[in-house]
Amino acid sequence: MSNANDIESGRLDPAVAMSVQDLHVTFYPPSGPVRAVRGVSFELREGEVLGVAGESGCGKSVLVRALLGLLPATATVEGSLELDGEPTTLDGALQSEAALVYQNPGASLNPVFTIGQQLQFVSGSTDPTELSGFLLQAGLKDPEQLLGAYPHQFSGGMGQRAAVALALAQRPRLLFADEPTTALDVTTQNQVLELIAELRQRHRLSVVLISHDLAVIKRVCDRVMVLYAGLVAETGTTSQVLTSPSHPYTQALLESVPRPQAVGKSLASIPGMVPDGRHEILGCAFAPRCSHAHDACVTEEPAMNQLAVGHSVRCVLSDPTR
Amino acid sequence: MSSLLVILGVVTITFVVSRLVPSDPASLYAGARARPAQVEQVRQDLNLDAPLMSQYVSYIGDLLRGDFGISFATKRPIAQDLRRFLPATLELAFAATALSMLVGIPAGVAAAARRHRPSDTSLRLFAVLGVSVPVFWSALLLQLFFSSKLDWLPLAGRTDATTSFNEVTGFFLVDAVLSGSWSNVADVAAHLVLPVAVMAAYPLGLTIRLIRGAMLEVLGADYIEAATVAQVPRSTVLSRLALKNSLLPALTILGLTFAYSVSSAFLVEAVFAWPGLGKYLTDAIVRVDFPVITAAAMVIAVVYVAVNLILDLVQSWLDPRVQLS
Ligand SMILES: Nc1ncnc2c1ncn2[C@@H]1O[C@H](COP(=O)(O)OP(=O)(O)OP(=O)(O)O)[C@@H](O)[C@H]1O
Ligand SMILES: [Mg+2]
Repeated sequence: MSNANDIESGRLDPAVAMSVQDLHVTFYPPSGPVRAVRGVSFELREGEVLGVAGESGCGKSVLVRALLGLLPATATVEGSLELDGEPTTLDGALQSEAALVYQNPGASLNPVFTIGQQLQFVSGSTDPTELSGFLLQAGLKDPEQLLGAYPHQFSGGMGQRAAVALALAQRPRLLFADEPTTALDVTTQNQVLELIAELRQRHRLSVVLISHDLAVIKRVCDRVMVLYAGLVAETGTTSQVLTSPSHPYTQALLESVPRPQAVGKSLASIPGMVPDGRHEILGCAFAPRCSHAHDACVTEEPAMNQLAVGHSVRCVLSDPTR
Repeated sequence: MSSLLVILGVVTITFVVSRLVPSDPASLYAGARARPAQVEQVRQDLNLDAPLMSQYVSYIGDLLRGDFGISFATKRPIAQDLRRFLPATLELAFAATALSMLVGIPAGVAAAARRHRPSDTSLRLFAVLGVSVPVFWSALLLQLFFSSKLDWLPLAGRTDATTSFNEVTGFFLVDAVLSGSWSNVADVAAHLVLPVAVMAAYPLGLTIRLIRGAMLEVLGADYIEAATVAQVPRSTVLSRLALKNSLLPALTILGLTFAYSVSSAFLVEAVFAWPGLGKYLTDAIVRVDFPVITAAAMVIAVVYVAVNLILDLVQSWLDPRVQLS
């Protein structure tokens, strides 16, 4: 299912579909500014699934919503975005190329319109064969019949497939999926992941898959980006990051047993909490929770160090100059 | 089914009240200076010496035949009066409700779409005024300005003294159209403007507030954001995708304000000398005219029940999750 090995060995080198440089997002609630994303850069290649991992509150959703221009006007978004090498604005211009799938299908489907009507709004098509085609592509059986069904008649898995069908009806090149399987039981979780992998293959979709669950990421992602406190802690191919994790945070994430109930809570095996972005962070954001931390970690923010082609880590332990 | 029970309950209660509260309905009917023989005659005529149970049965039988009895005060059949007064009030209430929906729903949507901008703030201010300014005060103010000062609109009544046409339905706007004369229509419409505006103020303000609030909540939902990402035009998102979700709470309240405006029309009707149910009922209350009070209470109950039935239908049409029982 995973193409990780192909990319790693250089056999596949698809073009860069989207490139993000130095993205910063700051919110200004009355309680004072919150720096939710503090300088994230990454590339997404054509037909690639990029996993975004990290604990609750580390900025995964904000990152995606900033790229899509969905943040409230009270948030400032800085940085640059390129699509196929062309500079693109961060004011929602990406929406014409991208679709977004949410965690909870119950909230991402409009309760008072049939699936058929919703597909119609999104695709602009009124042709029932075309509309049911989207449902078929999302792996739903009896699509003609489902066109007349309302979301409340769907199970969670079917609902998420319908949400994927709505995304496909936008004929996107990029698919952003924010915890698309977190609300589902394990069996449906696997089915939805397989669907995403299959769509990537069939439509050459480039996918950004947000998940706090590394097992999910391991199943479908070619590359992984681990976020911590609004910064990239470690990035690389799935096998690089998950089999030889080099950031103590990635290591700690891997050691913690992922449990569905743990969503929104700090992971049991990592003591402490994610810093909340309200306070200026000196040095490494993870230092207070890191078992390897030493003096240098609390005074200067570590730079990104490249360990191998495509594998980079923001940690002084990996600094070759030390 | 349950609505029939509600009506039967109201009928029963009003029957009991009308037969038990007045110490002697017959002498009330006959008048204060009637001689005992006359009172006895009335008692016979109105069947008031029969056992309560058989009176109740014949009372319901009469109602089913559309016979609401005879007014103590005017001695006229109440059904005949209702046919004149009820349409006058319903005409006001229908027009006021239609106005609040036609103006209030788009205004509420616009306010939500322009949240916290000047147009939203002024719409909200307008809505607060609408729900808080007392009816008699706004009525007098409008009369003073538009009739007395500017002389644009008639002061009171349903038509000019010189206007006349066949009263087919009792809804004068309809009757005027049926008469085929545009000057009749214009006259009736001009007489409707001020009372309808006054009566619509409260439901209009309420509609703007309810639609705005419901829209703001719906606009924050994932499925609306998903539609935005899908590049569904903003106007479609507002007027179709989000509005259908927001209509439910607003329509429920609007239906109830319609029913309420029928039962509370007397203030507007008093100021505008509007010969409607409210005026008919207040006159009856002043004269302790029990049969009329009972009949009016029943009519109002039927209006409430009908409105609730319609609301159930609209609700199940708007929201697939609502099942009609
Ligand atoms: N509208 C907002 N106003 C202020 N702060 C916000 C806002 N939205 C997000 N944040 C802050 O941004 C930070 C990152 O939030 P984000 O939703 O991206 O986390 P996440 O990684 O997606 O977590 P989760 O796994 O819980 O979804 C959090 O500290 C959050 O409090
Ligand atoms: Mg999130």
